Amino acid sequence: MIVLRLALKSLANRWLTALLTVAAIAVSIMLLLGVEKVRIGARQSFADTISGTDLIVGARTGSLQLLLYSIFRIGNATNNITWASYDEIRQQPEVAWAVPLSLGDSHRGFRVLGTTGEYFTRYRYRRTHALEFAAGKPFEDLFDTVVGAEVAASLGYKLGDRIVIAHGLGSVSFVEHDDKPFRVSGILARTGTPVDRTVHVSLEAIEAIHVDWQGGARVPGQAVTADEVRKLDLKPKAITAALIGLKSRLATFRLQRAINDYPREALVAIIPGAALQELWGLVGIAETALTAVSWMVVATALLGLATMILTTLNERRREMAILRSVGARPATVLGLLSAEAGFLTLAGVLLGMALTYLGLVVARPVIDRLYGLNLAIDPPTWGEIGTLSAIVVAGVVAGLIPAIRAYRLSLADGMTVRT
Amino acid sequence: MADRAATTRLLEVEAVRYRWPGQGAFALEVPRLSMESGERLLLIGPSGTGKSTLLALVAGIVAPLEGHVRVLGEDIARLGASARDRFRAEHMGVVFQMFNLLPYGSAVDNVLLPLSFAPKRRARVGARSAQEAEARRLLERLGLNPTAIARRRAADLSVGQQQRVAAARALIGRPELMIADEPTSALDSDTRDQFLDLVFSELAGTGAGLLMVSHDAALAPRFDRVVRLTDILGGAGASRSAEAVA
Repeated sequence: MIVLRLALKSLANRWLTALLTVAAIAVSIMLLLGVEKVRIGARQSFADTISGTDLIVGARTGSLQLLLYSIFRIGNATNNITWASYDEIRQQPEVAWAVPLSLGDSHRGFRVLGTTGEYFTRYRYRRTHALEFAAGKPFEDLFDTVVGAEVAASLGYKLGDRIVIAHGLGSVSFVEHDDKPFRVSGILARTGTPVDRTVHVSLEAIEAIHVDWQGGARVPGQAVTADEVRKLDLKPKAITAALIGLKSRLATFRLQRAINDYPREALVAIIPGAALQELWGLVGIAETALTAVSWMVVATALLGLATMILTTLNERRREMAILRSVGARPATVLGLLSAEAGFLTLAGVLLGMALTYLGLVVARPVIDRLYGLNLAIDPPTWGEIGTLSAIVVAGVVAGLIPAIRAYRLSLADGMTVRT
Repeated sequence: MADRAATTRLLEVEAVRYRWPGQGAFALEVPRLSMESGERLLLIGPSGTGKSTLLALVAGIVAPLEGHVRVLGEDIARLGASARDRFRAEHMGVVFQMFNLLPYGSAVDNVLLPLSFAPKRRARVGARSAQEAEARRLLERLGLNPTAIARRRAADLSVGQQQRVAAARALIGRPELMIADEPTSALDSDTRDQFLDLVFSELAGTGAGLLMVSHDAALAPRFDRVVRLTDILGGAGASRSAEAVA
């Protein structure tokens, strides 16, 4: 149709402004889709921090607090579990495996986790991923340590390096266990979980470095050397928390109740998935804010589109008068203008989608490596298609603003074609 | 349509009153104006007297508040807005003073434009290839070299060339009435005479009538009939234009 062809030619004549408008819309769409991808990826990565564990047990506290200090290494435990209670839980017939966690020390700002070798085989993230060693192996000697990927990367550690663990959690500590240095026996591959920022030692090592300590300070005159400590009984008396795996998931709630009602000590057992959901609910405000910002950017781009068309209005008045003089109905002319807006928006949306996917393909490995954020490259969901269609409709509506104005002016112009 | 034109007048304006929206003071009143089929009528009056408004009423771009505007017997004042647009597309060709063309289209695109809105005119011209040939024929008849200008953007043509392309557009598909609003005022006198010669000879070929307004009384001898706008206006318009003449 000749009218459509002329409309396209008119658009082609304004290609630079049209291109910039399309680019602005494309960038806004990229932001919108990108934020959505990161949001979903972050939520997924978050939920994938720990899997395969059925219960986390700790001294009685809030479930979020237990999750934060046992898994995310944030905050402190107020109380410990006695080894006897842990041992009793471990003996329950439903329990397939149990991994003790002992926290409280640090190394240059990174948390130190005392655990058993089983931790490296039982811990799962992203549903099925097990921990892998980038170099070395689990601790064998009492003073062996396995460091997370980020610890190794930021402190430049390699196998065989000697490190000193500090008492307490400050990044600059004046009270160090410098009489009992550790040797790096293994470095873990990056996981994108707090494991990366953790220094792992054996439970016995945690006992060993505290054997001559009492009440948070070294007992004067009672120093025990690293060699002497090997001869002592290093069976821990207490741990901070424990990861529990069950033989059957069906037993989860029953055992959880049993632990919560444990008579000899105030304990709490949480289901990691549920606690993660609860925690995300708190963090989720940020995602809402991000989404709101990206919507505002989309609105800005559409306003830019309306402005761009408004600036061509004088030209359009003439176009309208000419088209009307040859018999075009006002609706046709109005339709042409808003179709142009819709066309530009559609082009922007498609370009934005293409750029988003291109960006994902390029940046995905880097983001995974640097931030442990696994961004999925999926075809657009129906929800996204709905959103994008709504944006195209909004573009058409934005185009109606100048179109209606041009129509009003052309009515007032009548037969007079103005410049 | 030709049979209807033969038995009825081409144009009959009767007791028309009009006011532009939002402008309370100025009202155009035309008690009576008529044209026979094929007649060439020149409407003379100084600017600001409502010439363009009258043409907008005849073309059906606007509808009068009262009265009748019959074109080929059809009272377009009684038609709805889209029906008026359709009627204009089928039966009238319009030429403005200047800026007649969509600047990005070629000369041929512009000539063919009305056919998009007028199925009967389109049918009269014929199939797609015939349409293009007819556009070229008209351009040639109006003294343009179609091969030289057909593919050029309308904006690149001279004003004289643009007016001829506009005339070709008004004539394609043989509408019964050509309406021209000062089509020659942007042209120098040589080009003006040549333009009118070409338009008149083409009109003679199709038997279409011409309603043209101008402030230039020198054109009068070339027309069948000349009407002074002040003579046909009534009411407020008349007094206002009387002042303008004085």
